[in-house]
Amino acid sequence: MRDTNLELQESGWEELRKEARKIEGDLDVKLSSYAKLGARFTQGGSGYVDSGSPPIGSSRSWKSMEMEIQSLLEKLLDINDSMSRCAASAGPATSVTQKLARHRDILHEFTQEFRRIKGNINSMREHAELLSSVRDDITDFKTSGSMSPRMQLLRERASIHGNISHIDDVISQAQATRAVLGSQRTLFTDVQGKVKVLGDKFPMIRSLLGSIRRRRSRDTLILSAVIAACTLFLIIYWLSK
Amino acid sequence: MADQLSKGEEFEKKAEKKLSGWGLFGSKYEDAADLFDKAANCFKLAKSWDKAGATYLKLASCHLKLESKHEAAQAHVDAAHCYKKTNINESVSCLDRAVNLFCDIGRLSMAARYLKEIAELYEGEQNIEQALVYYEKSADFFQNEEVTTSANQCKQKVAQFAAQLEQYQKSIDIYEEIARQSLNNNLLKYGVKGHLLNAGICQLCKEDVVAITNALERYQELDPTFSGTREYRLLADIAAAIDEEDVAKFTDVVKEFDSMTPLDSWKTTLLLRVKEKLKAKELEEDDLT
Repeated sequence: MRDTNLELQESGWEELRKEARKIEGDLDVKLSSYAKLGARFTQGGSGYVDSGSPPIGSSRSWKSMEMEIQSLLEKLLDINDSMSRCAASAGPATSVTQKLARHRDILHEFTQEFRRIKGNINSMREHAELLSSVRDDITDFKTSGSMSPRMQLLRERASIHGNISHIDDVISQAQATRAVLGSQRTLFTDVQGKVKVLGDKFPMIRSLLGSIRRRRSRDTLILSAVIAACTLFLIIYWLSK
Repeated sequence: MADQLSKGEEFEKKAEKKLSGWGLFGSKYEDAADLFDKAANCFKLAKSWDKAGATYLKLASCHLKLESKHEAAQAHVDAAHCYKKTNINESVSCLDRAVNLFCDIGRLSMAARYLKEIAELYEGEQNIEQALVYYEKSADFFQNEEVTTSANQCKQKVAQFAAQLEQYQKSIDIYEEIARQSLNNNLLKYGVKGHLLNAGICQLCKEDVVAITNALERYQELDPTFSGTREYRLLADIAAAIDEEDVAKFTDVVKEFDSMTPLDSWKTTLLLRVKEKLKAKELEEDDLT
């Protein structure tokens, strides 16, 4: 009976693991297709001329693929939970625990990647939707006007402003570091003062520690003596009885 | 790997035995704490994160029995770092308990740091409401400890998430406050136009042309060089497009700005909201005529 039960659990575990591996393979393929779709959407969205048809078609396939990946992730999560329950009921085995942790890591990795690609595609879609317009001659005007010195100067100034933003980030990090180092220096100054005071009082502390140690050993001796006396008394009483 | 796991379980069993036994010589909680620490370390080496987290929680209980709050808080932080790999909710609750303990012993700067860590965990989980709440708490604590730079970093995060949750007035107030502080700093004043642009975009989302005009005038008084920048031009032109309810003009203005300075996803999202509202209003006008 027990062997049959364990055999059933093992076969269930192997079946679940096989299914999990199949879904992981499917997820890998679909995630790479999803990433390629995102890249194509980027190329389609960057050109303002043909902004009419690509968003609709790619949006539909993108939406369906997203839902498909979502359902696969949920199914994989369910299978991982089933494997976890199966492993818990089967008893502690190190290889099973390691395999379970491996599957959990894979699921976590896929979830993170799916979330990142979805965020990217959402951002690009919003960007394209914001900048799309019904008039295409504006694009021609921008193309013809992009060679003028004024536009180049404006682009240069935008680059400088971008550099200023990055410098601001570095400066704020440096200021945070300086504040932390300042508080650390204050702390070390306090510690130095306390250590000096402690050094002054060290002979007193040593005598105090000696007293404590002596008292502790005396307590131990007293306790041992009392226990020994009681034991001896019990032995004598038992012998005399 | 396997021997580390068995060694950890052995240490944990010893610690449990110490806890259940008498404390005749010395303190049983101190000895159990030592053994729990060794067990948790072995579990970490074996990559059993759930067991390591649970063991650190037991270690924290021992330290609380010993009235050592700092050690208990540190144990909670270690437990949170272990749970971060497997269970985000458990990690957040451990950090929350650590923050409470640090507040009890008066270590507000460490409490602020771990509040920021909780907020980052929620941000990673894309739970914007909770991330906003914890970033706000963290900014308050940093402000109490006069760590202005970290407080401003947290405040900018609060403003960003508040705008995403359509709490535009809070976002506007924070960006204007940061711009005002940056003006007093020689190193940071060149970034003021970025903060004012963010505040202006939040004003645009409120759809109040009079408020936008007043805000632009206030920004000019705040920073006299702002009126000559392209950010001011963008905000003024968008305000004019909103006043005239002209979607094509709006799109042209944004496209021209984007061709020079690419908009990040936050600005794109907010400007898209403005455009959608403007388009809806224009459709209403067309239906009326």
